[in-house]
Amino acid sequence: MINDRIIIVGGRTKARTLAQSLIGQGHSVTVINAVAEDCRRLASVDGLNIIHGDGTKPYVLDEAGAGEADVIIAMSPRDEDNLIACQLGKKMFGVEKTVAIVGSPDKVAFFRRLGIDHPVCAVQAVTKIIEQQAFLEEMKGMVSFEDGRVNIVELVMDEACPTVRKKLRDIVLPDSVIIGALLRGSITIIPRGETRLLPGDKLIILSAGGREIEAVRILRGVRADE
Amino acid sequence: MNLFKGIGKALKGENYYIIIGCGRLGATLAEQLEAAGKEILIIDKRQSAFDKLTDSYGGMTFTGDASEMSVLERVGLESAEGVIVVTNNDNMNAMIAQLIREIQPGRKPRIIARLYEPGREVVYKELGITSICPSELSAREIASYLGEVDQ
Repeated sequence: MINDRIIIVGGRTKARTLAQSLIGQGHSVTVINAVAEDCRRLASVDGLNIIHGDGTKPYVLDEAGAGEADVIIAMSPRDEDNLIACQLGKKMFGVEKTVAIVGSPDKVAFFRRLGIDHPVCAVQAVTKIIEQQAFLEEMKGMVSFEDGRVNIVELVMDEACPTVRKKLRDIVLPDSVIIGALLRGSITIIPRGETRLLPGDKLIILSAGGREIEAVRILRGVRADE
Repeated sequence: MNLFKGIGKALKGENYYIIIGCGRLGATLAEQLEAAGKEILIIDKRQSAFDKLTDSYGGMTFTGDASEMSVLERVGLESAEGVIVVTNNDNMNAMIAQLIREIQPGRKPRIIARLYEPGREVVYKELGITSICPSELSAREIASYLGEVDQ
């Protein structure tokens, strides 16, 4: 396992939950929090280093070991603090990977252009999850890269799918979607145009630009209960 | 002391300026620049912040959050010669300054941001944003009174 040195700036309950999970995975975690009361609460987490201070100040980051850190995760409720903490980490301390929570969805692209490796918009992420949950029970195992620029989803074919028993080349999917693999019982197939979809097939769908729902609608049809 | 004197030289000749943050510095600057014949728009989140402006101020005010793209896109950044970002929060100033440069890449408008903590300047060094640090200015001024530092 890669043992990363991770600094979490801000965030109360979220920071605690994240820190516990990261420590559990074997990472070394330091939390910076400006509120003394929050620090006391965080102190109950085993093995967590805590720095009481403002994580957007260079000397506080320095004290937290930013010079040796591999990752900075900024999760305060203020976009500007998250931006500056990550930018300082990157530009002053050479931290390789920066992750920042972004409150307003229209700033995600802006944060990325300003050098934040992974701006995470909670509102967008939750909306996306709800959208997917509400849309399909069958669309499982969603994995996202780069905040949804590329997604991988699973879909199990059944008799009710309008595309079942059709050849792939006869199914028109959105441009940026491909079926990367097909699991049929214990066999794994890398599908070609001639491959026919059968009930019970599990499709691994690779999608760019958020068009997976559209693809699933085509493969599976829109059903009465949706 | 006339604040306008120093900065005015740097901004010489042009006309439309935007000031973000109507604190004491923002309000003072707005009045001085306006009195010197500039067209001024001053922005603050809170309407009551404009109470600091005296009756003689003849420029414009705009109530809104300048950290929102939608606000910045409506204040005529493209025709501004300079934007002076002086809210009371360093990180806010640093973010707004970068947002403005993002919306208006290039050299115009000139962007000046106040940073209480000069170490934060590193975040936008390559973007051509000028920082003003009050404690550094004061220190320099005091030192020059004492005649210990050559300017």
